[in-house]
Order: sequence, then structure tokens, then C-alpha cells
Amino acid sequence: MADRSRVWRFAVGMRNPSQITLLISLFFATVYPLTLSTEGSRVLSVYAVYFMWISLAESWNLVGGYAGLLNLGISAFFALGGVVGALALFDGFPFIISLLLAGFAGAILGVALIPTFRLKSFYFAIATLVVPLVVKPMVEFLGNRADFTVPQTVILTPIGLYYSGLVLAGITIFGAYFLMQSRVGFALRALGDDELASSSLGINVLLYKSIAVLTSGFIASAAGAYYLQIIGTINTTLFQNLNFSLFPIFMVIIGGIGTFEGPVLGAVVFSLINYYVTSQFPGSTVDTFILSLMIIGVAVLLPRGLVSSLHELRKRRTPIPVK
Amino acid sequence: MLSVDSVSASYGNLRVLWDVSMSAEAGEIVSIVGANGAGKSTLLKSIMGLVRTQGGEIVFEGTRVTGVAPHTLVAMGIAYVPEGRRLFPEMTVRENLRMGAPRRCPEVHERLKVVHDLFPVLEERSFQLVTTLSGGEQQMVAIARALMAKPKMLLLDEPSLGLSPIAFEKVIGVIEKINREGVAVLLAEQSSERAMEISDRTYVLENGRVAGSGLSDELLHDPMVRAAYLGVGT
Amino acid sequence: MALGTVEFVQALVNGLLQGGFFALSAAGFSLIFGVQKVLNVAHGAFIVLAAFATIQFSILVTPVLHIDPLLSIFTDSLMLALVGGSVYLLLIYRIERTGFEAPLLATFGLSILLEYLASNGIGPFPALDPSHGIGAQAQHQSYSSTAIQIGPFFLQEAQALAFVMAVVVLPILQLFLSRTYRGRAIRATSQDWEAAEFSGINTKAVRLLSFITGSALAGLAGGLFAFTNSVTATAGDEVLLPVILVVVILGGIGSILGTLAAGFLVGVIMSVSSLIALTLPSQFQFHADLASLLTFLIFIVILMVRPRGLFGHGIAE
Repeated sequence: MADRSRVWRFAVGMRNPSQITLLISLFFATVYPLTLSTEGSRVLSVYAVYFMWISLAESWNLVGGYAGLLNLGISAFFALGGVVGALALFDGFPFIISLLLAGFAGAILGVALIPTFRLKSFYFAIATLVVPLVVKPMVEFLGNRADFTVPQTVILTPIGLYYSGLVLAGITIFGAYFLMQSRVGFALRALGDDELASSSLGINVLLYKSIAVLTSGFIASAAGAYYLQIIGTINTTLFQNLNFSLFPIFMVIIGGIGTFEGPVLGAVVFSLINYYVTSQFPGSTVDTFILSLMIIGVAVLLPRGLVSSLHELRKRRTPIPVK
Repeated sequence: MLSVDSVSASYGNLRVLWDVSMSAEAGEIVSIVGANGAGKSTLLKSIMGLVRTQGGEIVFEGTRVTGVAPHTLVAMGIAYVPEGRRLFPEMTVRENLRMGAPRRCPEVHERLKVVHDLFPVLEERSFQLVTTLSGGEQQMVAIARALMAKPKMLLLDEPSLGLSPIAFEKVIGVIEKINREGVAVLLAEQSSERAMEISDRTYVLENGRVAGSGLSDELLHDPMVRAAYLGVGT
Repeated sequence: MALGTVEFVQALVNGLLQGGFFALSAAGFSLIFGVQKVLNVAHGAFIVLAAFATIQFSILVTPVLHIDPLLSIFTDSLMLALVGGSVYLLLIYRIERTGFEAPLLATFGLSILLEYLASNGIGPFPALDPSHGIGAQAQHQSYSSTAIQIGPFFLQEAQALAFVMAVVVLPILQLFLSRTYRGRAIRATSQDWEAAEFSGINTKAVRLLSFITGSALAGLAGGLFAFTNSVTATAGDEVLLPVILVVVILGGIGSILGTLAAGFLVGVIMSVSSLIALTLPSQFQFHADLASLLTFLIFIVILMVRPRGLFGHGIAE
């Protein structure tokens, strides 16, 4: 019974339009493959990157959006997850176990980040930028290689890839939502607002920051193991690929920082645009050029993101009441 | 000299100033008193261009200065001593003072001499990092830094904060001395009684609004004001 | 292989020379981050842009006018100063008040853009492609192929030049910051920009100046980079930015002399690490980059002992 009331409260809690849209989209995403023929189901693998970016952006948002800790090194978690996932598959573990093992590895890396919490915000950001650089040679040393290619036999079918991605993204989204509705989420938002006040209110700053980073690390690494399924190979250069650290931030900013549906919106918008631009210029790198202009454009014109900029516009139209 | 005409200000959705109007004339000491959170600091910050205001206007010596950058206001003759001093922590006393004067300042040595005459201890401490100074000395640096701009008007925000009564008395003495030399002073203070004693006029702020104003002498002896703001029973 | 004294000293010397280049590369980043708290992730790409310009100079100008391509490091500085100034005014200035993320993303987009331009060519200037040997063309014979011999030791000339530049330019920058009004205004702004503003300092001008100065330093480093390395379009992200970050953190953010010292330290650590990695038995010779493993382990140990960096006032609270 308790569970049911909780689910009910949860459903009732999702009231604003973007949250309802999200629920409807998830429903359609679930039934969509049923409309396809066996032949047509190959197209499903296209959507895998959407789920991957959703998970990664949502994971970044837990730390960067709620706890106000700017993690610029999420590629470390992502790449580590890919490597651990590959090692698990080598050892004959099924995909789902490889995902979980990758997640635990990410959570452990999160623990290693705890000492950096005492840094001031800007310095925390620059320190996290170094984390992937530190982890990369360690992984290469322990794994005794730089290239982790898994045999085709352990790769999921398009339909398996689609549904496992949907489940990953779904768990991430609802996990983030539940976490934010819980005491932890309340504490994290308070943290993001004013750390000094929160700690004087008796909120255990270190504990809640740690929970955020561990959860985020778990998700990001699981997303890395999922990425392995998409491309079949992980090279350790992925660690220092800034794109995987900064694209999630870009998505979160577009969609709305510190909201649980924002990263989903941002990831979908980003992936759609990226897909469209890439398909317009096949076999060319012009898409990179357009992407760079888009990032600069969004940063300069919508520095507070699409959603909040729209809100602000609305606010500006309504005159400030006198008295 | 300075007039603030129905200015409002907010932090996010929280409105902290509501149509505040006030003025200060050349040669005056004007005090702004009120409880913690009444908007004293925000009023000074609004004048100084550190807080974006909504509606109304601020005029200094006939020029509309609403929305003007703080450094321009300094060049026009308004200097500011903030709450909490806000010195440059990794600089020496001398460097902090130098930052108060404009870039091209042929008379920088004369100005240094003036502030050293006001605060002789600062000359001894010239090459010490400001963080090694006592709270009272740091407050002196903050005031001296503002005076290096050779202002026509000085805004002081809670100069008593963190000072011993003796140190505060010294600061009060300096404020009066500066004022005698022709600098108008706008003083926001929680230690209202002392501030009112040395000022010509007083504005009382309450919840972001001007709740009363008048000659300091009269307000000081008004039993209602005494009860409400000075914590003295009738 | 045993570690001989000569090899060891030679590694130290190489490290110091390389460290000069590191310091030069990192100083501009440190200055910009210290003053305006903008993490310019395009700093590596700025350096590559300057290297690109020097390479073009060596291809297009040197054969015609017989001007030493080395002189192009000064035009590089000038060019990057212009680029930096425009980037600040057109992009960063408009968004720096909105927080940390938007300026970061703007410079990130910029780094992708510059990388794209370097690998596809800019207008009439051909792309950077080391497989065509263009990266090597700038290595003007009199600077890179020759080495100065002192006793049993060799100094690579281009590296030695980067070292000299670092040792001359960075202390001058430090003097500028500590002795002149403008330099002090930069420091004041980095310590408390609001206080700087109400003390009468035009902080917009100060930020512009620091962005220009930082970018000009990237130009200087980039010009030299073309002589010491084979330049690729992605070198900014893959090679330079990592080293810059390590040097800046070790040196203490915003501290120029700290950056200089940390540059030497990182250079020496890297070169000695490579030497040690070479001497390890062959079963330890993995695909792994043992030198960077050792470098980062030492980096972490140093940070544990001195979390504020060597000269820092501020990475830890």
C-alpha cells in the first residue's frame, strides 16, 4: 500500500507541462518499436545515442545542477565505464552485469573525488578537468592496453540496444526525480543555493555532496558501458575527449539547469540538431563547424538556456508592479 | 548634491527597496538608520551603481547617474566604504590605498600624506599585507582608500561593524574631520544613536521604505523614534 | 639499462627547457582564469592557431622575403592579442555575469571552431597535416635541427629559445603586475572585482587587458611550438591543455612566478619519468604511457603535500 501511495504521489507530482510531455514521450518511445517490421527495426540503433546523452546529461545535472558543483571531468566516468564494461564482457558477463559493474566502478571513482569538495567552486571545476587525465594512464597501466574492442557476438541487437537504452534513460530520469523529491534532493538544492547557510542549518554538506557525486558517477559510467554497445570499441583517448565532458553541460544549459526534465530536453534537442546537420553534410566535417557556431551562439545569446530565457522574456513583458 | 527619487531594487524576486527618496546636500552628514535588513546597505549600493535599480532616478550634482558604472561614479566624486571593508587581501596597505586613486594622479603623494595625517598608523603599516592588520586598522584602510579618490561625497556602510567602541570613536572623529573639510557624508549605521548624534539629518528605513526623516536632533529626542529604533524605553 | 649520470642530467636539462615552454603556455591561461574566473578551454587552440600562423609564415613569407620565420612569434603575439581582445568583447564580456557555465561553453565552442579551421585550412591557407610534412616546414633549419653542445650535454636550440623567452617574459609580466598601476588593477580585480570597481577601477578595461595579455602569451608560446613540435590540429586539446592545467594548478592559480616554477617542475618530472619508464624491464613496457602515469602520480603527491600549489594563494580554501 505504501508503495502505491508513493507512486500516486509521484504521478500527481508531475504536473507541469514539460513533465507531462516527458511522460507522454516515454510512452511513445516504449511502443514505437512495436510499429516496426523486423527489417525496419534496424533504424532503432539510431536512437541509442539519444538515450546515452539523456543519461549523461541527467547524471551531470545531479552534481552540476543540483549540488552546484561544476564537474568538468565527467568523461572520466564515461570512459571508465566503457573500459570496465568491455572487461566485464571479455570475462563472459552478460550485458546487464557489465552495465552494473561499470556503474560501481564509476561510483568508486566518485569516492576518489570527495577530497576535492573542499575546493572553492572555480577551483573545483579546474581540478575536475584534470581527473580524466589522471585516470587515463592508470587505466592503461592496469588494463595493459589502450584499446578495448569487444567481439561482435556480445553486442546487442538493434531492438535490444533500443530497449536497454530506454530502460537506462528511464531509470536515470525517474531516479533523478525521486532523488530530488527526497530529503537528499532537498538538501542538495539547499546546498546549491547557499552552502554556508545549509551547513549551519545542520545539513551534512559532505554526505549529500558525496551521494550526488556517487550517483552521478554510477549513471555516467553505466552510460559509458552502454556507449560501448553502440560503437563496439573504447579507446582510452575517450578519457580526454572534452566533448563528453562539455556536451552534457551544453545540453543541461539548453534544457534548464537544476530541473530534472531539462537535461532530457537538452539532450534530445542537441541530438536532433546534430543528427540533422550530420545528415545534411555526409562525409564532410562541416557539421563540426556548424556545431561549434551553435555552441558559441547558444552561450552568447541564451546564456541561461532555452527554457529560462523564455521565462525571462515573459517576465520582462510583464511590468513590475508599483507597490 | 545627491538626490534619490523613488528608487526601488530587488534581489531576484525579493523586493528590498520600495520607492525610496532621499537627498543629501554639500557639507552635510546624513545618516540612514534602521534595523538589520531594512535596506540601508542596498540603498547605498544602489547609489553606488552596485545594485540594479528599478524605476526612479538618482541624480548627483545635476547629472542623472542611474545605472552608471561604479568606477565612473568614483571619478565623478562619490566614494564608498562598504560593509565588511572589502580590502584587496593580497596587497599591502600602500597598494590598497593606491588603488583608490585614479590611474593618472600627479598628486598621489599629497593624497597619501592627507590620509596618513588622518591615520598615522597606516603610514607605519604601509608595506604590510592588509590581512595582518587589526579590524580597526582595516576599517581605516577602507576609509583611507575611499578618500584617495578625493571625493566630494563619502558613503559609509556600517563602519562600526566589528570595531571596539574606542576604535569606532576614532572613526567617528575622522568622519567629522573629513566633513569639516567639505566632504558630504552619507552614513548607514545600525548603531543609530551615535550616527544620529554626529549627523545633520536622518532617514529612518523600515522594510525597505523611508519610515521617517528629519533633523537628527529632533528625531533623537522624539520619544517614538527612541522607542522604535534606539531601543530606549519611553 | 642502468641510469647513467649523464643521461639523468641530460633528462633534467631537457625537462627544464621543455618546462620553459610549458610555463609560457600556461601563464596566459592562469592570468585569465585568475582575473576573470573564465576557464578558457580554447587556450590550447589559441596556441595551435599561433603555431599555424608561424607555419604559414614559414611557407609563404620566408621563401619570398627571406625573413626568419622565428620573427613571426611577435606577429603571432600581436595577432592573438587581437583575437583575444575580440573574443572578450564579442563573446565573454556579454555573458560573464551570468555565471561560470556560459563563458566556459563559449570558449569550448571556440576551441572546436579553431580546431576545425586548423584541420581544414583557413581560406587560402592550407590545413595542418603533419603527414604532409607541413608541421616540420616551420622547423627552420637553424633553430630546430641544430643543438648546442655543452660538454656531454645537448641543448635543442628551439627549446632553449622557449626557455629563454619564459625566463625573460614571465618575470617582466610579474613586474608589470606588481609595480604598475595597470598591473595592480589587474590583481585588484582578480582579488575582488566589485571592490575594484567601487575603488574607481574600470574593471571592464582591466578584464580586456588581461584577456589580451593572456592571449598574446598564447601567441608567443604557439609561435615557438611550431619550432619545437610537429603541430596537429588537435594538439590544443590533446597535448597542450592537459599540461597547461597541471602547470596552472601546481603553480597556484593566477601566480605568474608560480607558473614559471611549476612549468620547470612539470617539465623535469615528465622528462625524468620518461627516462625511468625507459629503464624499466621490458615486461613493464605496456602500451600504457608510463611517463604520464608517473607524472600524474607525482602531481597528486605534490598536491597532497601542497594543496595550494607551489606559490598559490588559493586553490584550497
